[in-house]
Amino acid sequence: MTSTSVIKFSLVFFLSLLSYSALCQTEVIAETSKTSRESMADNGVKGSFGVAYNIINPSGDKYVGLAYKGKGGYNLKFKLFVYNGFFIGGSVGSSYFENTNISITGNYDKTRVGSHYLFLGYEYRPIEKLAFGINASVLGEARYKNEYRGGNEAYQVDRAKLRAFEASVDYFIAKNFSINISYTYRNDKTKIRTSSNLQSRFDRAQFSIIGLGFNFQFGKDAIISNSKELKTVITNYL
Amino acid sequence: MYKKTTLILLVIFLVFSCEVQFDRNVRIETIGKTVDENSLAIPNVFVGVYTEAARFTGFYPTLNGDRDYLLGSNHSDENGIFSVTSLFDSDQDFFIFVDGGDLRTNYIYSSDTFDFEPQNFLFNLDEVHLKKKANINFNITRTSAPGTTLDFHISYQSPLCEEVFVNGVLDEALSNCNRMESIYRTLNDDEEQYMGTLNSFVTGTIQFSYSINGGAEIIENYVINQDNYDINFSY
Repeated sequence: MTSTSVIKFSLVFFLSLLSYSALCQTEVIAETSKTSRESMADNGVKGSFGVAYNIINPSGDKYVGLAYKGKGGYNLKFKLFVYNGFFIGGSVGSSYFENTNISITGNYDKTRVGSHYLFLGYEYRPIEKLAFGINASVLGEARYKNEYRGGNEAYQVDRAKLRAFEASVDYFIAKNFSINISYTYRNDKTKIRTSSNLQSRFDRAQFSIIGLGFNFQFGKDAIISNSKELKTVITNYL
Repeated sequence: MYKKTTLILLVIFLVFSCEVQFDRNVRIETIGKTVDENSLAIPNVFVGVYTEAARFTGFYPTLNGDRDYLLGSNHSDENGIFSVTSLFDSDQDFFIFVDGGDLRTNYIYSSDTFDFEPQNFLFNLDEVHLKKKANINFNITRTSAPGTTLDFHISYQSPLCEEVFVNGVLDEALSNCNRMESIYRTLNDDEEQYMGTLNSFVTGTIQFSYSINGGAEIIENYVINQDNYDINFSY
């Protein structure tokens, strides 16, 4: 199984888990708070989805850092809380680069990086209006499409195992809506094969991403919110 | 009927308008040193790695169907050393071009890479000799009595140099590097003199052989030592 199909499988598995547990949660809520009806957004598994504009900064002494200039990007992200502040999520997005030194990289003008990955993280929310989060990629792939100089009729593709580390801050301007600023460090392990002289230049693709976006929050409890509910879930299951 | 035609045209368009894609996940390196006819380093020489891909535009292959794509390039440093990082293309017409400019000869390293990947992703060209281009100015005049006939033969070295490698090994038969070119002429009452300029390079050799009135053949050898090399001869 390739890592792409692993990601797809994980996403499907994850979503079915979500729908299953959401079903259970409804029962739990029905039992515990029969009197008060709450809106959809406040029920079920807690999570968020969001979109962000990205500022891309190539870094390091690898080919990306030596030759590329960041041209922006975007990504979509979604996450679900598993237990307390711990969450799991997925991200898809694109980053754009301009090649400023073809003698470093080979002859092409532009690079578009398509990224998709799953991540695990932790969120700390000291006050109602603020949430701090960190996460790291667990499975992911990036596709670097290099567009030939002087036209788009020719191209070349490099693939890489994606590695991302992220820190973010959410500021809540409404109960379910937050503005998000994030910093992501990317250290992708490329699959580029080259001469022994050039190996160290092409083995990694390093850059950082500053994300500016917003998130919508939904749900109330983590998938495993507390031992009492867990017991109920297990009891119901059995 | 109209629908069917549109469908066929669409299929043809999709087949022929496909983009050119170079080899995935590969960078190759080409190294060497550019030197002149005296083995002295030449700095700042352009070295380009190319592939010639078949091109289709719209429905038809274009008339000059193939196009050269530059996969990577660099210049030699002050010591003549160069290292080119480039993309790679599995293609029958893959070549490395070392540009001697207006004053020096060029060098082409060509290789069928359709089924061949260089060992360790490296092409090592070693020393690439870019010799100073030279003109051989031949001037043959007649000083003897009318009725004298001169048969002559000039062989000289062409400035072109293309070396063809098959699986990393030089194939002399397919290569064409400083090959000998020849000119045969007969001068007589109809055409008394010959003036001609031939393209060669400094250090190139010339063999001039002639016979007067069908007599014994005389051979003279020259080595070109300057960019305008004059050979004056009279019979």
